[in-house]
Amino acid sequence: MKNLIRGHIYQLKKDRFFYGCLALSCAFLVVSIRLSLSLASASNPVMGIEGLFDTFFGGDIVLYIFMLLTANTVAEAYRSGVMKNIVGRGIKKKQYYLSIVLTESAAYVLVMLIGGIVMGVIAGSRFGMGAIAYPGYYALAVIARILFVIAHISFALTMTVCTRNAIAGAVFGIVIPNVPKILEMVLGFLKIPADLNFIKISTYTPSVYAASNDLSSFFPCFAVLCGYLILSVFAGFKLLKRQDIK
Amino acid sequence: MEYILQTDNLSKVYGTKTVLDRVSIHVPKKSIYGLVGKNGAGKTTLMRIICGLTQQSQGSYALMGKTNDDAVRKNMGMLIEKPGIYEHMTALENLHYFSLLLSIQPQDHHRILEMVGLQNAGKKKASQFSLGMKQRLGIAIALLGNPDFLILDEPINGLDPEGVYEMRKMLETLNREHGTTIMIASHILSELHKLATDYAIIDGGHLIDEFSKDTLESACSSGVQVTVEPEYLQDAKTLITSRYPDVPCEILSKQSLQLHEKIDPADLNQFLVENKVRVCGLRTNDEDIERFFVEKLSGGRAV
Repeated sequence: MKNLIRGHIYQLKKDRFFYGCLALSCAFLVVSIRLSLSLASASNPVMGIEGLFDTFFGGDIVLYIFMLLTANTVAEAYRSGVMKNIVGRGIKKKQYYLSIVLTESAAYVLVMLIGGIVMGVIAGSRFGMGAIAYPGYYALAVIARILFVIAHISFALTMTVCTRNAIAGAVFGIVIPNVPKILEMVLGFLKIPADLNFIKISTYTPSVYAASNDLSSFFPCFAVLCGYLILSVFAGFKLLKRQDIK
Repeated sequence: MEYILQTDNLSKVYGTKTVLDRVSIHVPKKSIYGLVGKNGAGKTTLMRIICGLTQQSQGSYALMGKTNDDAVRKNMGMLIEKPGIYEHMTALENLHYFSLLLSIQPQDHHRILEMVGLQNAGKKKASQFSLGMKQRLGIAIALLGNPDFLILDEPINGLDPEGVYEMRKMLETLNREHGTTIMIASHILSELHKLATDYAIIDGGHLIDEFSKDTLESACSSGVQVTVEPEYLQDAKTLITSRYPDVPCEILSKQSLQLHEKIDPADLNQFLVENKVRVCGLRTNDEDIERFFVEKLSGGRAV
């Protein structure tokens, strides 16, 4: 697994699309940080720690960019025929899948961490660093966010394995977590009342503004996130197993 | 004899179409095994199954003595259809990438590139390579880690005559000096004949025949082939042996004899007819490999 991850990192470093995605992500982060700081004032300060975590927990646009990057990486492996060499030389498909998910997720987390640190330093220099009032909440929130990211990267990867197309993979990967919302809309159109909030990923997204000592909300949060992740990984494994690699 | 690959009634069905039908081949260790067949015969499908790129519908195979073990493929190299390379990377970068994935030490890369004639590829991205260069890079990737078994599907596609020669020499060297078993599918019979030690002919998804080079050579050697009515076969052999004592004469089938030297066919025909042998046909063969394979594919003589 370690060597697979090293290989993926090497391949990303040689890929212009990766640098394009990085540049786009940085642009969004800069805009996001500027916006947050422009809305802050002496009466409504953004403390350094708060700013760091808020930036880290946000960044859905950047996540979509990394989902597209993941989809492109895998679609390119299919298109170029590299996938044949990978499977043909005995690399386990499951290991390949997991290594892609881990590599891309780690890259995203690193980018958001750097963005968060930049935000934290700038906000801290203006309004002070502040303190972590609820360390347990923040710790679990970080884990939840990482699970959230891994689940989304996995969606993109599974849908790309299914479609072998980067755009389709990324788009379907974004659609999947919104399936409960889409279902609600369809059922509503059919005049069937339904509340599917309990299986929506967005219901459990942690936020610095919801920080408290009450950690009970993380149980359903982890359950839903793990459920989506396991479903996506399982579907990805099954697809890879049955697939003819061309 | 030890086999690096044995398939047992391997079949592959796509929908209602059977592309491979109960194929059982035996690839001896350290051999160069040639797969011959028309387009769409099933050669590539067979190779794809062995490489794990598709699953068989029925049957099984043992690779390096093991069944259902993907790990043995780490000792295998392959080039199936188009080479799988990243075009945004150079040749060296492609090799480095696959070396990382396969946990192979990178120090062999320059030697491998030299073996396939890409030592001067330099900083050129693979997207700027010609078809032949891409093919060479694909083979270089297959050679990573000094595999025990190489599976090559039409490896000389796109290569110029010099490249074809170099490829043949490289494969011969790999086989002779490293003991690498090579399974190679090719339409170019003349090249395959120079390389292969064993053959399998596949047509319409069926295995037509499997034989060694020695058998092929004896069937195609210079000489005369006589076909007589079955009841006259032994008489014909006795007569020919008495008339041409220094010419090796071999019974090929229940109706045909092979004389392994060129003699005047008209003279032979007259001699046999005068001795009351009913001759059905008489043909000179002159290392006609193509004719041999075409006859095989059209359900001709058995070896």
